[in-house]
Amino acid sequence: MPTRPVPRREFLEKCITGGFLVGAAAVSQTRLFAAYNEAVQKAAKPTPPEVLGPFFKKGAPNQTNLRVAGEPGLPLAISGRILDARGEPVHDAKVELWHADHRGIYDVHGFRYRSKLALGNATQYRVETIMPGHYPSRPVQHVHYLITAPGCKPLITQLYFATDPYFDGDPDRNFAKGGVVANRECVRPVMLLDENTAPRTAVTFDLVLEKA
Amino acid sequence: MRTFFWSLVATGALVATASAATATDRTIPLEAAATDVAFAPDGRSLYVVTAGRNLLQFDVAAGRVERTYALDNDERRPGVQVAAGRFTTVTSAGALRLRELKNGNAVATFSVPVARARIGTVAAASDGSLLAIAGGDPAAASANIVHVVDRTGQPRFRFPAGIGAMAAMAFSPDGGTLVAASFDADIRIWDVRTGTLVHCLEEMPLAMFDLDFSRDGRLLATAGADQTIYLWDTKTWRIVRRLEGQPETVRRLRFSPDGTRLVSGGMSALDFEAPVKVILWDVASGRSLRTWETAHRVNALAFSSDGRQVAVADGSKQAKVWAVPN
Ligand SMILES: [Fe+2]
Repeated sequence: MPTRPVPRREFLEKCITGGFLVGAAAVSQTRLFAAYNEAVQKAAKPTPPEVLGPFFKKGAPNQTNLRVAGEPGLPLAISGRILDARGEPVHDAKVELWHADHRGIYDVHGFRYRSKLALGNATQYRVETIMPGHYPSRPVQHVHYLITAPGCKPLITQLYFATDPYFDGDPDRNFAKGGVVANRECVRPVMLLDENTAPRTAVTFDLVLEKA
Repeated sequence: MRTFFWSLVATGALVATASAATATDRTIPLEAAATDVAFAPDGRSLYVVTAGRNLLQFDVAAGRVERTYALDNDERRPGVQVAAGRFTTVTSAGALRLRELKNGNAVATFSVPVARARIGTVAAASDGSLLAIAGGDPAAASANIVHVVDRTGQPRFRFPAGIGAMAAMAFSPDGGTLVAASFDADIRIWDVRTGTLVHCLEEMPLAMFDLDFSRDGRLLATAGADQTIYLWDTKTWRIVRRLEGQPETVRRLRFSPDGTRLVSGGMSALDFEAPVKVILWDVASGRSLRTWETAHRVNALAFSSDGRQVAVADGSKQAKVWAVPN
């Protein structure tokens, strides 16, 4: 006879009453349940997929500095962790990312603003680049991603910027406008770093992969 | 010339008196952008399907719309497969619908298991016996599949098809081979009699946006983001010629019926509503013979069966018929 899967709530309540899940400080069972559940679900949420788009190019070099001397564009650092759905770091990931230049043009002749990072033992990635431009045919600033790692399903997604004028200052409400962005989670806050120099920006975007 | 046509469209005056053009050049004002065009086999009519859910039958010689059939409200992305006398639409519920070109009647509606019920690219064998339908794999995010079904929707094969959405697919003229160009930049070639992948052409670094077989099946033309048209020998699957000179991304291409000419149409990657070129090529020499311009990106191209006319639909609200120089 097949065993009936225990619903998560019932299971957690059992753990709490049984003393298998305990709070470090004195917290109510309800709060403990909520906090644990939220943490687990957060870790378990794979990065949602977005489309590959037509301008993927094979053979990009493994490079972390995508800035081109003399090219305009707001400097942008993108970084994040590579995790699996249990929140564990993933090794040997290949993170391929590409985006348009400040005018919104993809380099199809070379590999400007294109990189394929082979992370090896590292489980975080970081690139120095510029904020991609807008273009009329796809009026949202975005960075394309293709991530592969042993034991995980390949992930194709995109990073968007909460500061994009396209979202009118309210990405929660406007992210789906025009059907261009599929997932709110891919719209990330932008940190403006000034440090008495020219303005720079930074964004974090963790990549959570599903097990194959 | 372009201004002249625009003024005709703007004033609502039609077409056939275009003295600056040759006798057969035509402009067809439409209520919405055309998504596909195809000549009837007798060459007298041009079928135009529009994003406004209409099928128009245009009398080329007379320069007027003969009939208009309205599609249903749930239908979108109509595309013509004229050889089999049919065209396809995708319904908002995620089904594929086949309709007759001659009277607009729906002859079949069926669904295929694709992710989120979103049907992508569709291609039909020239005799209409098989259809290839691309979409996401419902079981795996970021993976794509191609379903090959018969004309009633009965499944024949289900091919894993890489990670990017499908840009274009085509059956060989003998119906035995299906070629698919994916946004992952691979070109996959399946034998649809045995249901096997026979080749995967991986040497293209960038995606091909369209492909077309010569009518004798010996050449396959592909082109896309790198603005070059590649001609492949379909026996060896090696590139035998490159046609260079399209100033934009190549969005559409078609061989002439006798295979001596090829027409290509562009797309500005920056702005779909920017003007682009349509180029007529001599296949043997790789030279361009004639260059036209459209107002917006090219949605569809078609040769008449005698090869003397080419029809173009772009993103603006008009379709055109141009005489092909000898
Ligand atoms: Fe893009």
